[in-house]
Amino acid sequence: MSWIDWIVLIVTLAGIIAWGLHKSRTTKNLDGYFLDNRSMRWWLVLLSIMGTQASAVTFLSAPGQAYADGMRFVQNYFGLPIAMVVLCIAFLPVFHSLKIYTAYEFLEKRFDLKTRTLTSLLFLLQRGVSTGISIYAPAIILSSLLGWNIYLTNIVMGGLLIIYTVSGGAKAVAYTQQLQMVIIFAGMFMAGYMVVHLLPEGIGFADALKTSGKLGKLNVITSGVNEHGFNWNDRYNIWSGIVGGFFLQLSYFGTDQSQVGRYLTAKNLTESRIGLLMNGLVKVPMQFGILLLGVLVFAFYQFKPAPLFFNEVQVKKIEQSAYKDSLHLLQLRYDLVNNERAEAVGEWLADEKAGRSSEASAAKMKLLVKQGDSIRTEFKSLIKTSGVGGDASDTNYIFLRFVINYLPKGLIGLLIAVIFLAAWGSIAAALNSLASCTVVDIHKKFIRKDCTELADYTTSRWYSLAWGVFSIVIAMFATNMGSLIEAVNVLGSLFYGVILGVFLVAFFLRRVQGHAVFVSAVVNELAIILLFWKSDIGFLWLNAIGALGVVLLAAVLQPFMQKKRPFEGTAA
Amino acid sequence: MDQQTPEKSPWLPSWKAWYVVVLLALAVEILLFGLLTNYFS
Repeated sequence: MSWIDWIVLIVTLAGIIAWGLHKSRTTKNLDGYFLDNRSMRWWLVLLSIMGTQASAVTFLSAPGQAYADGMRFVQNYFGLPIAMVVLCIAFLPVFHSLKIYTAYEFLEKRFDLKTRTLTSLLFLLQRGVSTGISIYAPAIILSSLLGWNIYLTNIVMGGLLIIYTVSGGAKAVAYTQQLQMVIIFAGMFMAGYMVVHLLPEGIGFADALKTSGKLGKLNVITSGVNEHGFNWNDRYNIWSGIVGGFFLQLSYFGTDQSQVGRYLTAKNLTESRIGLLMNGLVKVPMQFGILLLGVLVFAFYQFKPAPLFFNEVQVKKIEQSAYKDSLHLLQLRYDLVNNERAEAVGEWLADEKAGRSSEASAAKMKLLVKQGDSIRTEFKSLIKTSGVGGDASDTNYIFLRFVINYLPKGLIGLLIAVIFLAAWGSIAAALNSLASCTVVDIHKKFIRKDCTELADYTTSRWYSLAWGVFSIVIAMFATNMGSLIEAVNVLGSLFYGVILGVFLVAFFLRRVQGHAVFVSAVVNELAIILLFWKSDIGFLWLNAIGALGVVLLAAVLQPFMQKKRPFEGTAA
Repeated sequence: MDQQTPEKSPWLPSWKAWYVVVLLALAVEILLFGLLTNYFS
């Protein structure tokens, strides 16, 4: 990196920390530290929930995913707007009227302490580990591409944000997320402009789209149906996106404290609702835009030589192994295909523009792309068979490799800052929510029940710090996990469905009580883990299966369980 | 359940109208994405 990039990076990160510290002043009690005294307007809530959901992995993996697999990943978000509407109708009124700090607090009022504690512990386990991955995921990519020390990168990625998160709680988290989202959008927009600007002369945005579309990358809508019928193992299609995605997003926004804690900061129910509904409006187009960036990078590499493998560290490892001759052979073949493909794409576009028959040139172009893909697959197999270790997938490296190789000085620093800021936004919210659950659901219930407001405030700051250190430790231990965006989603899907099921019973099955829902949650959690371990089912379905499993089993078990006083405060 | 009076804003419709807007926007997006997929395939 040049010194200009270093200056841009350091100034941006230091600016965010200073802004976070500036916004740290709040009342020294739980209301002030975790909810900013319920004072925020809807646009702050919106930017905060968007900043919490969009992690560094979103901005690194998604363009790479589009490069490798096309745009169909956007279908994953189709369930989100529907989930926002259901949340506004069923969840938010109850959360706001009960004046709770954590989502799980509601479950004690509705069921009993053990159900609250179980769901809170499942959340702490899942969110604690996935926050570690959120630190490690961008850190390993930056350290590979820029030659940085991974341990130091982990500490900067997960450590600096602790300063303002511990000091200012939810208020500092929300205000820094606001600024972070503005910088992130500006950076991504500039990157998109540059990809189009760097295309060869005479090739414009429309040509890039045409080329990518012809090569199967604009597959935004897929049915998931093949010659044998509906493929349940297909991860991204319109049905898994709407149904599975709905359950995933309902669970994430309705029962994951890292999100619930954001919209509970709103000054009233209406501000919360508008914040969430606006998120329902902008999320799908935003993901579409990020994926489109990956498709444009794909189009760019149809005209310029693409690397055989985007993670150079792995290439160097092979070069220093006994397999270096195989690597050189693959590289020669790939260079040849790269050159021929660029010519073939040019010919196809010329045929299209001249209105000539383009079938022959299209077939040639597709064949060469297929040959290139097959050489890349051979290299990935080489990584596995050579035993050099490391990740055999380079999806997460594609976008940043392009940034480093082709973007001008200054913009590289800004885009690396974007990765840090995206990571900080989601990690800060996660630490704040982990601390709120530990203090409100565990510490004040089982360790010290009667504390002064100041003692609660001090304890909350210590827990924020402790979770920050825990997440960095997890990041240090994290190893290869394939596509990291999927690793986070898969981990979430193991727990989200069951937690959502408990909340659905709480809202919609008023006669079901604590014992039945608790047993149902434990049984279904074990079943989901078994199903994930023993089958190849697409992970999005686990959310739906877990949620519906808890609802059905709880309804069946209730008549056999001891009856308790029904809860008066819920309504659908 | 909702006992609060929604605050009036000069340019925002009520949150109930947003339910329809959000779901309609999703339907339009899926339709446009379908057309895009079809056009470029």
